Amino acid sequence: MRRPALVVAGVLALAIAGFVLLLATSETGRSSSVNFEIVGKVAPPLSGETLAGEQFDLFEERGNWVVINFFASWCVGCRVEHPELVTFADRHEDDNVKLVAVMFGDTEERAIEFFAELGGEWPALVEDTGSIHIDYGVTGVPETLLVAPSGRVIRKWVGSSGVTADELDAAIETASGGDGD
Amino acid sequence: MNVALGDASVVIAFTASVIASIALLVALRTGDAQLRRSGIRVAWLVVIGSIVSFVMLERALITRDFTTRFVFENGSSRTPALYNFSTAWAALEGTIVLWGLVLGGYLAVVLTKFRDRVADPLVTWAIVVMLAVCTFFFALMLGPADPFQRVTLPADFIDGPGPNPLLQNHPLMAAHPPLLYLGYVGFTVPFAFAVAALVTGRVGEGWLVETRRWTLFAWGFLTLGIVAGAWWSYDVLGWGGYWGWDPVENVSFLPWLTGTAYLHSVMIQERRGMLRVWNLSLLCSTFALTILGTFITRSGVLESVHAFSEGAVGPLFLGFFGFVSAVVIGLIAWRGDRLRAPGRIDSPLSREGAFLANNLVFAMFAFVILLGTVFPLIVEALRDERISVGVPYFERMTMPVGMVMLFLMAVAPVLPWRKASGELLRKRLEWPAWMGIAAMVLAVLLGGRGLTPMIAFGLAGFAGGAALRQIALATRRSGWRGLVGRTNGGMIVHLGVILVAVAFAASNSYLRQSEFTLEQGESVVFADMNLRFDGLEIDDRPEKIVTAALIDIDGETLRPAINQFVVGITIGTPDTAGSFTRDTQVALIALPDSSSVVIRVTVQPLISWLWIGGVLVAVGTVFSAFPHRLHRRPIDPVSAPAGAVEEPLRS
Amino acid sequence: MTEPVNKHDSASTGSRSPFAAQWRWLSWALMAIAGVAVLIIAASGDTGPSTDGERVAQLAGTIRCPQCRGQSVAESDVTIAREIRADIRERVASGQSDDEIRQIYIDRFGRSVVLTPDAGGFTGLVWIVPVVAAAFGVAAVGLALHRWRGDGAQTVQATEADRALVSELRKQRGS
Repeated sequence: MRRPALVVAGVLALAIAGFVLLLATSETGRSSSVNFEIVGKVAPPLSGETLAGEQFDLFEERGNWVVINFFASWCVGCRVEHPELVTFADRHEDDNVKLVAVMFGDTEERAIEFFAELGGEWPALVEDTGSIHIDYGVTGVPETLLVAPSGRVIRKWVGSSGVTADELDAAIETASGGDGD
Repeated sequence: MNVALGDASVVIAFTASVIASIALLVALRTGDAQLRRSGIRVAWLVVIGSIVSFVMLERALITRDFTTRFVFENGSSRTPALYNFSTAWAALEGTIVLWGLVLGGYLAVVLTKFRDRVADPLVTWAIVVMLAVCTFFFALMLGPADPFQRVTLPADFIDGPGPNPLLQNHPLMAAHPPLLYLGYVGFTVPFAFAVAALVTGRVGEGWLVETRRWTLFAWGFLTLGIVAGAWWSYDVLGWGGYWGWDPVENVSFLPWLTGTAYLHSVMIQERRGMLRVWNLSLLCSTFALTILGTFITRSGVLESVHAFSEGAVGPLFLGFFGFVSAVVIGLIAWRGDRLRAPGRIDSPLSREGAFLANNLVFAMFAFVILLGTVFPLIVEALRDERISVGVPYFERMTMPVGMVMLFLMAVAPVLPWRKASGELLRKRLEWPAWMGIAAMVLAVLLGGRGLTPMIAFGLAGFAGGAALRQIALATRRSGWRGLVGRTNGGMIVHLGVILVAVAFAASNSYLRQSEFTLEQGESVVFADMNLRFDGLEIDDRPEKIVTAALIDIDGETLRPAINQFVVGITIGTPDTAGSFTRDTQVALIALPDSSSVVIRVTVQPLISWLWIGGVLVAVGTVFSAFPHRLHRRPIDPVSAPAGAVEEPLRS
Repeated sequence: MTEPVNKHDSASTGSRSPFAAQWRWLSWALMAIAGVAVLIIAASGDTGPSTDGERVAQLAGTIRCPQCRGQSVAESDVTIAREIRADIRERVASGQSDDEIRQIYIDRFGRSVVLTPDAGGFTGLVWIVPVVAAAFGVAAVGLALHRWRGDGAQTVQATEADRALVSELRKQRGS
């Protein structure tokens, strides 16, 4: 009966060793909530009334580059990236690169205060944004998407400190094949 | 002073455990009795160190000594007294100190109880193993999990943050970790004796049987700890959940499963000297799984509401787990030839057969839970995909296992040793079976439907009948003594488990939950009840603002609330109307911003029986520890020594 | 061959009268009929959700909250969880099936947003492996038992001499 016992012990030892290896090499503290499902797909419908009282519809922006920024006033990263977005909006005031913000988990008053404090005049959607969050697979803030003139989402940024104006510009450059604009 | 003494006590405990182990090991080799006695004396220093370190930590907390790192990070002058005391185990470093205290306590009891038998190498080895475990934990306290570092307070320091508000809102949360630790750490003692038995090769002398009462004690507390955790979850979380198949819950359940299997299986070893490998494996697995559980809770490898990941400690626990597993497998493989049983199982239809089946079922149960819990990691490692394995998987997989367990609970107590006949079974199981049918009929008459819960009720009635039959026979024969002792206490524990199983099946199958938005004065009908929103109540307290919604349910007012803590965290507190038949829990989903509230209503039957069953299990465990008879009868069977030959009957 | 007398039984193996044996069979037969009847009644009933709101809650229990650590959308009250619940409510009201609704979230949040693992592909292993392991365990135990039996576990048969001895002793004791 010695041999079977050794075999069983050996198999068990190998299984546990494999198990320990698996646990040792698994990432810790990662958030499995972030997803990139939207990248590569056609941007879902995004429309509504902005803070300024106008109507915004993503479909009408076909032919333009659109940067969609999901934000909230309580989000530290959003505050950090906001000046960058202001810079970016200024750079592209008159060309075919547009910026639109969508609120996530916040109130209209606080959004108005947020923009008043940090500046920025691009359209911001604050009401009934639930279906937009779901359609775009947004799970937290800040999240920023780049939509090509064709209407396809080509890039998504998530990260506690948000995006910079240069990152956005570089992405547009690369995606348009270095032709600029 | 707290820091200095605390640090000193940890250093003393660590060095003492190292020195004592070395001394005892050398004494084992050379047989030097003097050295052995010295080693034991030094081991007592470990006990003292563990007590002093805990006392110093509590002293720092109670006196709000913010120059101590742990208090700086977790204490607050606003925390009420009870929760301030329990803040000691509200964060990692403190829980390791608590573990050290409990370990020191168990070590003290071992040193006292076995002081006359230290000359026996097996006892010495057991103490060495316990000291080795102490070394690991005190090393953690010296290094990555040190609560006693000194902190210079910044100039504008006002107050500490206090423990997580979720840990401050229910007294059971204060009790939950100590109860769990009394359980987990308690398994170290029988584990130490198991390893000692393997090392010395004396696996046939019933050493595992002697430590059975220790295992029972630890198991009882582990059960209480798990039930306390479930009860707390139910009272504070807001969706009527008490068990979420969350990774941390699952891994805390695994040692309970192997421990329960061990408690049953060791009876076979006691009576017939069999299943030694099973028993050693189960016992050592129980200890190893407690270490694995701590790793998973602390490492953040698996996402969980309970997991508070702290960088450096995780890998150390994983390493310890790997080490323990390697040592145990090696020892059992080495001593395999001595573990062969002298007897055989004559028939599968016997108590031995039932307990062997029991071991298999529990092992499968533990395997399924472990597989489901770590499977996302496996898929991520091998396929680079992210998947989730959640409640629907565990419910579907564990349900058949639970049914089989209920069936075994019914049949095993009436099975005789060695061999049973069909006629005997039919006779003994008759009225338990009638109880099973009666349970199902009762459920149907009360309106219950659904095949799965009905089968569960039937099997539960069946098992309950078998347990009651055993108790009835015992009390008829021995009066009140028929309630104590291993078998009878065990039957009471079974009854408790059966109550929990019935409550679990009923509350899961017949759960009704929905969300409602109500204006002031508006009412809605749900689950045969009338719910009406009567208005808000706002309470401004020093540590939090409490916004409660007054919900009237058929005359009774519930106050689900949202607590906004000064430190910036917002937590909801549900309110529950409970009875013996069903519980209604209402939770406020968000701070009301207009005149309406959004509430979640959960109605579940038989929830109270979960807690009643849990208490009954504890009572049964206590009864089980009392001896049934004061003196062993001469004709009671004893463990067959290894290698004994059974003499044929002679006239 | 007499059955082993278990000391927990005050009566030994039960009376041998044919009436008792018949009654026992009748009793078990009645039990079987009652049991089957009850199970049929139970199976015919419906324990599913009875209102739309309950269906929403039940469906929400199978979808993971993307912003949380392991909770379902039914349990969590964070922004995205509440939005998904509202979305589910709309879809349930518009008549979509449970599977359709789940697929919509998979498309948007990835496969990990559903708490039930796939039954096919590599993930299907999590369903199959336990069953295989259980079968393997039962087979191993069965094999071990069979080998023990075949190994000549000798059951000592009572011989005539033994029976004579026993009746002799009983007579002496006057029982």
